[in-house]
Amino acid sequence: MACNEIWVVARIRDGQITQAGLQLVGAARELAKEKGLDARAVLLGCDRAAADDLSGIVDKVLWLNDERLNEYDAAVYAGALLGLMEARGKPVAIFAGTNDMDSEVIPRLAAMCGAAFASSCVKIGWEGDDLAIRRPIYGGKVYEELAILSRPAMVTVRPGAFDGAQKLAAPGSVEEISVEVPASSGVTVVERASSAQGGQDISDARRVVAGGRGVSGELYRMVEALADTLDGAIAASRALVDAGERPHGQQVGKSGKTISPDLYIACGISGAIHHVLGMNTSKVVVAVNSDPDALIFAAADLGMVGDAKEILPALAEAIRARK
Amino acid sequence: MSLKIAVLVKQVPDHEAIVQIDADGTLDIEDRYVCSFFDEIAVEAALDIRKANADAEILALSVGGKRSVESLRRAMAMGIDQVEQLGDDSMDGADGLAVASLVAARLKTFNPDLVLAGKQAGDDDMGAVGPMVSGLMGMPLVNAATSIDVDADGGKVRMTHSMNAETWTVESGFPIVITAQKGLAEPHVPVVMRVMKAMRAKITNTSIEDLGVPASDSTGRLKRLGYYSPPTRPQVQMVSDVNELVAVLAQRGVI
Amino acid sequence: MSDGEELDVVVVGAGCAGLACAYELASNGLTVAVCERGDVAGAKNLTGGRLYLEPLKDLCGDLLEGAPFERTVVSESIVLTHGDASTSIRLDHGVGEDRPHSATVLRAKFDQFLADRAGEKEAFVMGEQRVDELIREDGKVAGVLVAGEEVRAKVVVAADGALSFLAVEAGLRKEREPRHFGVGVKELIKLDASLIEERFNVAPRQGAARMYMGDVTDGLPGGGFLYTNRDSISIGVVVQMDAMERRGEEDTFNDLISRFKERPDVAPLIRGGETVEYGAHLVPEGGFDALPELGIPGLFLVGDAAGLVLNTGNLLRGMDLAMASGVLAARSIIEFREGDPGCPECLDHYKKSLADSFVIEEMRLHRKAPKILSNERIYKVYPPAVVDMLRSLFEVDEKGEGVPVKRAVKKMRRTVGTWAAMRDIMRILKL
Ligand SMILES: Cc1cc2nc3c(=O)[nH]c(=O)nc-3n(C[C@H](O)[C@H](O)[C@H](O)COP(=O)(O)OP(=O)(O)OC[C@H]3O[C@@H](n4cnc5c(N)ncnc54)[C@H](O)[C@@H]3O)c2cc1C
Ligand SMILES: Cc1cc2nc3c(=O)[nH]c(=O)nc-3n(C[C@H](O)[C@H](O)[C@H](O)COP(=O)(O)OP(=O)(O)OC[C@H]3O[C@@H](n4cnc5c(N)ncnc54)[C@H](O)[C@@H]3O)c2cc1C
Ligand SMILES: Nc1ncnc2c1ncn2[C@@H]1O[C@H](COP(=O)(O)O)[C@@H](O)[C@H]1O
Repeated sequence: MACNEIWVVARIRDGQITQAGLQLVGAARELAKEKGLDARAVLLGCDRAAADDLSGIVDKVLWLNDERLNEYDAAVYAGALLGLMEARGKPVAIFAGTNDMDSEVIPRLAAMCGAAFASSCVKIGWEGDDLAIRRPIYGGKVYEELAILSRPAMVTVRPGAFDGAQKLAAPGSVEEISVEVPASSGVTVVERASSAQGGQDISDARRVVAGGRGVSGELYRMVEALADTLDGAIAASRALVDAGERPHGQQVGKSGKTISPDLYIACGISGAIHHVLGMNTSKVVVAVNSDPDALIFAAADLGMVGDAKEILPALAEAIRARK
Repeated sequence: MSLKIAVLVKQVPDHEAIVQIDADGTLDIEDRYVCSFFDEIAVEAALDIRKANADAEILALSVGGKRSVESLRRAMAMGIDQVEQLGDDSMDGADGLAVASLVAARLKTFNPDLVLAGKQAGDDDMGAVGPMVSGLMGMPLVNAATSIDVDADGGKVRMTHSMNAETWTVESGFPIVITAQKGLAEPHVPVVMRVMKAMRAKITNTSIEDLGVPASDSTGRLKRLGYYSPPTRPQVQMVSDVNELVAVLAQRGVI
Repeated sequence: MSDGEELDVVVVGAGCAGLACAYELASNGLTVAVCERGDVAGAKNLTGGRLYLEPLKDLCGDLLEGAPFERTVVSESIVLTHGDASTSIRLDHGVGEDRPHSATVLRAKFDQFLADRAGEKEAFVMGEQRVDELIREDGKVAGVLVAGEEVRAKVVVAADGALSFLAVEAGLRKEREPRHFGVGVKELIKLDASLIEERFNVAPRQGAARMYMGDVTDGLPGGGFLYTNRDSISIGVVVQMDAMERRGEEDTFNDLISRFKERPDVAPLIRGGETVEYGAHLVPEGGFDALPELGIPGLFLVGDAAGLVLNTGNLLRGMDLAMASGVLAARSIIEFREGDPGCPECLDHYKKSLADSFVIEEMRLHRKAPKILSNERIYKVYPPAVVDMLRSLFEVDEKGEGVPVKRAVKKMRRTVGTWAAMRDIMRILKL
């Protein structure tokens, strides 16, 4: 059984749909329109307010209002989505974000229904009636374009790939659906430690200030201060994470996170390809480095050569002055 | 109890290998292949577990042709005694589901307590196979683990991984699929004598038929349309004054 | 092989010397391991780029079958530079693929090829294995230590390159003597094959070699080189190390190379190319008189580790000597395989066969080269003089007068000083 829909697995964080989620809905609406399909947001867990919120940007919210979905469990989430598919028919495509959770749920779900899966998509379009996606491979040295022939076409999308969805003129509806929810997979959460001082997840922050070896130790304070001024999140290169100065959850790059904020300020980061791969879809990139030949300048829109020790406080001051 | 661990490894171009698009649109990959970065971490993690559980049995698997054998030799040189190549070069370039199907078929008879894979392979960077094996086998999954602590007698394993802005410590029973993130273990350079032994070892192969899996045709699921160069940014604009910088940022609407 | 089985030979260094040696040994059924500190064979190796093939026909003919040569050199030039001007002598030989006399190589590819060939013969070629000590027992070398692990063998072959740490540890050489070394830097510039063929006037798979002398080294003893590869150009300079250290400026190399590339007679050759590699490496340049003892019982030095490089100003040969010495060491070891290849007689056998080979013979023949080539007049005085003389021959001044040949030569004689020049020229001719 199939249905003519594109589903977006929406993530709610602190009661709000994430930036990435907004972008996914935007993409789904656009692509659905081209083919006369319907875009749907799928919401897992009991959060009426979130469901209502979502209906402001999408015609219909498929709300799996079930207590057992309140806590994240990869197997349970995948199972519930499979249940939804059985109840409603296989959609044409399922979009989710390239984030820690959906990177577990979506490929697992794909295997359960014998479908292909593609991660980290930066572009989605149609190739005939199939979804065509573009994604980086070989550590970002090249991009591949694939047509996904199996149904549903399951993809995770890199944040920043699309513009966020605009509000609908007339809000959509919320359809409450109950599906078979499997029992817990047995993975229990023992502890949740916030790793980012200031609590902002770099994956979803609109502004990120990142520091590398050039601002290690005491100097990193200035990165924090600048992020504070910008109401942004702090991040780091692998050099600082390897040195034990920053938690792994703040690492940007190939072996860390891939992020696409509106503004990314790289301070004292040399710009190794492994790092750049994690931030090169950011909208505006600023680089501050004392070495005028640093590679990071090739990956930046705006560059300032000089000592971060002087530039960062001055920059924070200038921003405050402007506010 | 004696633990059984399966580790998945894949041979991929070295991260420094030159990869470029040829005039005819195909990929030109410099001939420098290594065991994938995260897979070596997974191998080391398995060896770490065995240090604390001397009777643990580790099986390394790789799906594919000649190159697969090289990754298995690497795993062997690092200290894994049992290795097995699944399928043949018809599997090179197959999609994640095809690979996961062969792995799952083999694991049904091995009955592992732990399945370790890399978070993503250094060639397709897909991050599919680990989660897909979990889906096919109905095992729980912990992706991108940064630590694993096995309590074999208690039949439990405790792991940490990053979840959004947090670090989660989670616990599970066996069996479970875990993918390796950097930080989970520090791969060591194998010693000379083991490298030599691994270079000479005969590597067991199990064919697709013997695994009883219908030759999975991934071309029915994914079709490659082409390769593209990475997007480039316009020439950087250098500024010498923070006020100028702030003005441009404001003009672009990002502050 | 089983644990604890002893190796016949450990070769230290997967350069062309070590790999040729390992190939020969393994082809004859010996168990041989090659320990290389780089990730893979050739990873850290650097050469100008030209391998002379004739001397290796007998010794390495089989090994070099199907080797990834970049281009066969069919066009040779010696270029004297002075400021914006230069003059060159060029030879276009009619040698084709059927009788290549020398070919250009890229070490990463070439060494990997040699490693694969040795591997086919079941030699164990291993990267990431840095040897850091010799194991000595009963007055001879019995193996090496690699990251604390003992790797025992009947013989160790030191093919660890110019700074050979093994030769130093064995007491055969001092650690680092600037007067015995040259420093080479090289850039690899990617360029379309068709552009190379057009600019150097060569057919596909054929190439050019150019040696530069004069202010390309800014008066320092040494020279510049330029070789064509299949779709890249190797360009670099080699300068005597002690002269370089006396000068003591930082960035000298960067300056030399960038000025070399900007020369009006070089820039058009590499225009549009992109630098994809940059490296620096030492070249043993002490010549025959600086050669160390070639080993101690159980340890054989080959290639750069033994100082086997020949620099005559117009030729720089190290790779063919390296490969030849590697094969000769292997043959001596094979000769003694039934007995003890670690015995002093086996080492003597190697010394003798090397002495009888072209390797030592050529080095002896050119034993004065290092001294002659350190004469700075060669780089500072003669190239300008020759260039100026030629220039005056081809120029016509505003009065409409050219310079008669006789006067031009006379002027040159004045600038170079006849006697010193005669002496220098006689010496160079003797090289
Ligand atoms: C398989 C693999 C995966 C990897 N994954 C990642 C990854 O996910 N993320 C990542 O970041 N890296 C990753 N790396 C590592 C990466 O290659 C680089 O080594 C790393 O990014 C370097 O960090 P850095 O720029 O902070 O340090 P460096 O390269 O040391 O650069 C420091 C910079 O600071 C500048 N500087 C110094 N002092 C000052 C000052 N006072 N003011 C201003 N500037 C100053 C310097 O000019 C220099 O450019 C990976 C590597 C590999 C092999
Ligand atoms: C700029 C330049 C231009 C040149 N041009 C030419 C030319 O055109 N033609 C020509 O014939 N020759 C040329 N030469 C000389 C030639 O490159 C060398 O003579 C030749 O490479 C010597 O080979 P080798 O095997 O002895 O040493 P190398 O090629 O230096 O190999 C030594 C190997 O040992 C390894 N090693 C070192 N120490 C250890 C250790 N402790 N443990 C494990 N491994 C170790 C190294 O990593 C390396 O792989 C040039 C040299 C230079 C620098
Ligand atoms: N052909 C293969 N053989 C064995 N393991 C594989 C293979 N392909 C992928 N894997 C494993 O799955 C992980 C993720 O791969 P991928 O889904 O391709 O990003 C890798 O790090 C390996 O551990």
